[in-house]
Formats: sequence, structure tokens, C-alpha cells
Amino acid sequence: MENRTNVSAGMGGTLIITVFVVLCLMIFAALSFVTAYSDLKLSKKAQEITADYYYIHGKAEEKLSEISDILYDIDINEDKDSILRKLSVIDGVSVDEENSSLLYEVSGEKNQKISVTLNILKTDRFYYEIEAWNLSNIELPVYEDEIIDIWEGIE
Amino acid sequence: MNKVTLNSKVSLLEIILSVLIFAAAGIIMLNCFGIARFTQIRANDKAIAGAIIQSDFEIIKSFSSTDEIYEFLNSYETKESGVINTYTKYYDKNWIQESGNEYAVTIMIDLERSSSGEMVNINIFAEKEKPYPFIKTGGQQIYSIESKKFFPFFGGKYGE
Repeated sequence: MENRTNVSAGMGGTLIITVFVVLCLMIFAALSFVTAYSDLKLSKKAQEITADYYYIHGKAEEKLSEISDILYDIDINEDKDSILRKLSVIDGVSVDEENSSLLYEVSGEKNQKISVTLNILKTDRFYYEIEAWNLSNIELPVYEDEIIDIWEGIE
Repeated sequence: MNKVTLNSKVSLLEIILSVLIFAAAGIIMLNCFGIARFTQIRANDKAIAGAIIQSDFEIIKSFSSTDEIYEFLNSYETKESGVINTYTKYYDKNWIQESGNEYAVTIMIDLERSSSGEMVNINIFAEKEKPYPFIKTGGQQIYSIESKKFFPFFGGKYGE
């Protein structure tokens, strides 16, 4: 005897399948857009930080130029105190009299700063030599200590 | 013997309705996929342009005189001299140099002389020749960086 089974999509079946397929495609489209947009946001963030770094680098070079101009105009026979007094006039520059060095910092907007240390040297005229040119964070995140009990093993 | 018979009772109205829903949703979906694709291309362009620009900038930073800068910039394809010297190099859509002009990387050099040295104002930017389809915002400039480099006549070297 033959068993007959009738499989019918019935009324509205096509519509349900269409809606389901459309919904799936919509979700795929939305997900691909979200992924692409987060990549774009990451690239923009990286660009902002890079642009900020080069901006503060330019500012640090400007200060270097100011210092260089002052050193260039100083007479070779001038005494040390007078030279350091002239250099301390530059905004943001601190003088280390003991080591005959200059220190200054240029801060950016993206939690980064450039710290520069210059040595003042003399031959037939005064000039500077860059001792340190460091990029660092202005504020470092504070991590709280967490003590974790670990398994000490079997003796 | 078991027999399975497919008995579709699909009305014409239902088919028309399904096609209409699919068409309406298709327009939105295609736009969404299009925006997603070109947003991804824009993100990738930013990353690649950033790498090229930073690389060129670091090369310029490593020089010890302005002459070395000009020698390096001779590798750029076009040059416009004036108060501000402009150098441009071109890339194709895959960011390969000398095989197309889909993207352009431009360096603008402005030299300022002071008593003790030369200050070089550097502006580097990357541009796309045509705007991105589907995306209205953002413009054609992909990446831009401005900085300065000072070349003193005496000293200025890194200490040991």
C-alpha cells in the first residue's frame, strides 16, 4: 500500500520565507557596515594621535630654533651666568646650571609629550647637542594591585 | 512505498507581494552594502596613506641638512617651485606607485631662514582623485600631517 504525504508551503509560506531571507540579508548588511565603520573610527583615532605627535614635534623644533638663535648671538667671552640667564628667558625652558643643560617639554592634546634635554657646548662659539629627545605619556593609567591565589602544585 | 508530493498553493498576489518586499529591501540593502564597502576602503586608505606619510616624514626627520631633503624629494614625480615648494607622487587604486593616479601624496615645503639655521615647515597630505561613491561626507583628503624640522648651522647633533 502506498503512503502519500502532502507537503504544502500553504498560503503565506512564500511571504514568510521572503521576509526571513530579507531579514537575514539586512542583518548581514548592517553587520558589514558596523565592522567597516569601526575600522574607520580606529583609522581616524590613529590619525589624530599621529597628527598630534607631529604637531608637538614641530613645536619642540620651534623651541630648538629659539634656543639656537640665542646661542648664536651670545658672545664667546660671555660668562656662564649671563648665558644661562639669557636662555632661561625662553618660555618653558628650565636651566640646569650644574650640568650646563637645558630642559623643556612640549605637550600635546592626546596624552603625549616630548621631553628634550640639551647640552650647551662651546668651541669657537656656543652650540647645543641633543642629549635626550623622549616621547612619553602625560598621564599613565593607574592599575590597582590584585592578589590572585594560584595553585602551588603537589609536593 | 512512500511518496512525497509537493503541493504549492501560492497565489499570484503572494508572489507579487514577495517580489515587492524583496525589491524594497534590496534597495536599502544594496545601499547599506555599498556604504559598508566604501567605508572599509576609506578606512584602509587612511591606514595606508598614514603609513606612507609617516615613512616619508621619518626619512625627512633623519636628514641633517635641507639639501638632503631636496635630494630625497626628487624621487617625487612632479615638482612645483615657488615660495612654497610642492612635490607630488601618484599611486594607483592598489597604492602602487607609477602605475596610476587614483591617489596623490603631496609634500609642501616652506623654508624659513634664521640667524642660526633653517626651519622647514612641512605639510604632507594624501588625496583621492575622485570622491568615494555612496559616501557623501569626508571629502577627498584622506590624511594630513603638519610639522617642522630645524637644521642648525652649528651643532644640533644627538649626543652619545
